Amino acid sequence: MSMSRNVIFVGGPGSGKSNYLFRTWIAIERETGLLVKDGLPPDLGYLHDGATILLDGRFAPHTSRDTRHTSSIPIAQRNLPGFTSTLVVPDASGELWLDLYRKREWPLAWDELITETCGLVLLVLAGSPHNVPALDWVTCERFYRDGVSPQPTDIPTQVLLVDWLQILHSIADRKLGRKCAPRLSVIVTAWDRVPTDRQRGSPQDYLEAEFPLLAQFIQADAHGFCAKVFGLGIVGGDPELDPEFRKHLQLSDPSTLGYVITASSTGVERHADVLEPIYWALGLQA
Amino acid sequence: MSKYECSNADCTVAVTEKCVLSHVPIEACPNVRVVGAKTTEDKLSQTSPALPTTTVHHGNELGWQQTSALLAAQYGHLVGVLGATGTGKTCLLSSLYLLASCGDLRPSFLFAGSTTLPGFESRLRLLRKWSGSHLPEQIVDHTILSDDRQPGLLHLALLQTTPIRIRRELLFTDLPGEWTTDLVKRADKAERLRFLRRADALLITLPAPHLIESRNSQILFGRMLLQRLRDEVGVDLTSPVVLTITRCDKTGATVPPATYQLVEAAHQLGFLNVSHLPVAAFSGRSDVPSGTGLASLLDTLFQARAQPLPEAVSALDDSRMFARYRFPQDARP
Repeated sequence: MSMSRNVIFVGGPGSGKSNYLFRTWIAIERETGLLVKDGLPPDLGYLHDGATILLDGRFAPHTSRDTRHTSSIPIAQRNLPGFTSTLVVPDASGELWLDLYRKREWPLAWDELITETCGLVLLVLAGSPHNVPALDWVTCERFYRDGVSPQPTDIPTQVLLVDWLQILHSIADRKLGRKCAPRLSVIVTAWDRVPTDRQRGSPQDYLEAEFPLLAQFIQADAHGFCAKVFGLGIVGGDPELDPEFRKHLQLSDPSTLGYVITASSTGVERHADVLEPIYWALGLQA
Repeated sequence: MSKYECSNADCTVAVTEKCVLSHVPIEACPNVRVVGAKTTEDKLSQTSPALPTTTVHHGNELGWQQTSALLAAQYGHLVGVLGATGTGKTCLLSSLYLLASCGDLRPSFLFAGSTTLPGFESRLRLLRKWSGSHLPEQIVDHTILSDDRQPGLLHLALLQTTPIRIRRELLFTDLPGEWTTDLVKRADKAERLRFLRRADALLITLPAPHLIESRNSQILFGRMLLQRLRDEVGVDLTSPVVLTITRCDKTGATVPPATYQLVEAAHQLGFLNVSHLPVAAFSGRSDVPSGTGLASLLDTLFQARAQPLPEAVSALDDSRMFARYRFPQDARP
């Protein structure tokens, strides 16, 4: 019996969780990377429907609030004969993650997914209209001087992201003990939407500018995770904003498109394998 | 089959997708009902039953048990923040949090975590207020209410990058201002503040405009407070006491002269490590910008390294671990 390898996608509404899951399935099914399929999943409907949308040159729509689906994908590792496992990835709407902050509700079923071999993938979409900026000094000065409310109900995205990670680590602590340091991939999704001049910087640089609380939290390295930051374009462009790219996507093989960006000693590196963050989360990469 | 059903027996919309009453779009017809997911996108949106959930810590503040659990893993600096109502205690902490969240403490300090992140956020927006006539009497052991503001502690972890790289755990008290004024008026109100014997530092908030406009009464209040802290609470006289002069955005960065009289009074009472610090939590002035003084405050709090004490100061409550380590303070000559 093969061991399950759980990967939990963490992110708010519109952060790209479902689309990355579908792109992950396309890569595993087409066997373009290190992880390859070991037969088909018994329940393929959710993955198949999502992959169909991507292959037709669109992004999957916003996952509805009540959607809960856990995908179980039988996998093998290309360079490790005899290694078989099941990749288990729950997918749910970003509203469920908002509830974790607002209502402090954690799904009991997900507790079972926190194991010594589980990995976390935190996603934040570059330039998303769902992203709530942090309060700044100018806003606060006006608020404290004039009583002008600084959006009382909108919690800054960077606060949500850090709070979720802290909660996940406290759950891992409770279940596994403090010596366990779960693997964490932090992904800036839709890297294509980052302005061209800023794409010369690393994803960590982007976080420093847009989400300084999260960037510091990761950089301080006191969070208890084994973390790495990535930039990701799941198909290498934006078919929703760029009609030309959509045509290109429909005429191409999407499994050959997409890339991952990581920081390197010489600047940034571009990788063709979109599964790199999954490898890191599963501990398949040092 | 189409995705429509109609209560009108004469309508064939379920087969033809044409409304017998000619409604366009079809959904506009009051008799029609959408029944089936048809598109691929619709299939993805099919719902599932709600997941059973459990509750995690609300993160608004910490009680003693939660604080002890946190400090079981690492040393923490307990900072008592005292001052009358409206003297800027919450603003001070909110401003420090904003400095950290905006990255304005870099490169000397990096935000390294906070188990009370929601608490800081709601305090920054002034959404978390004391409930007026029913103020709590004790710091709670375990904060479980997410709605009411509880006397407790706010946690902020910072990574100090120079001169050595070290994680600092700060625990600030969040207490009603009435606890301070009650202490001045009545000695029997000291019991609930006895935990301050273990504090690594005490901040006493005094608004600069009050020190100018009501100089004599503020000096009286400050002297009485310091004496109560010494005689009734029994704070360690070597603990740093920082007279935190708030609202300097109103008066400028010049310290009101009354401050020096209070420093002198503190020395006369035997406090060995007294300092004063002008701060402006939020300001509209360019010469005294928002956050003025807070970096210096951190420097003051971290000015000495922690060393183990030979024995616990007291077994008063279950927060004894606070006494395990404390700043060694340089006694004044």
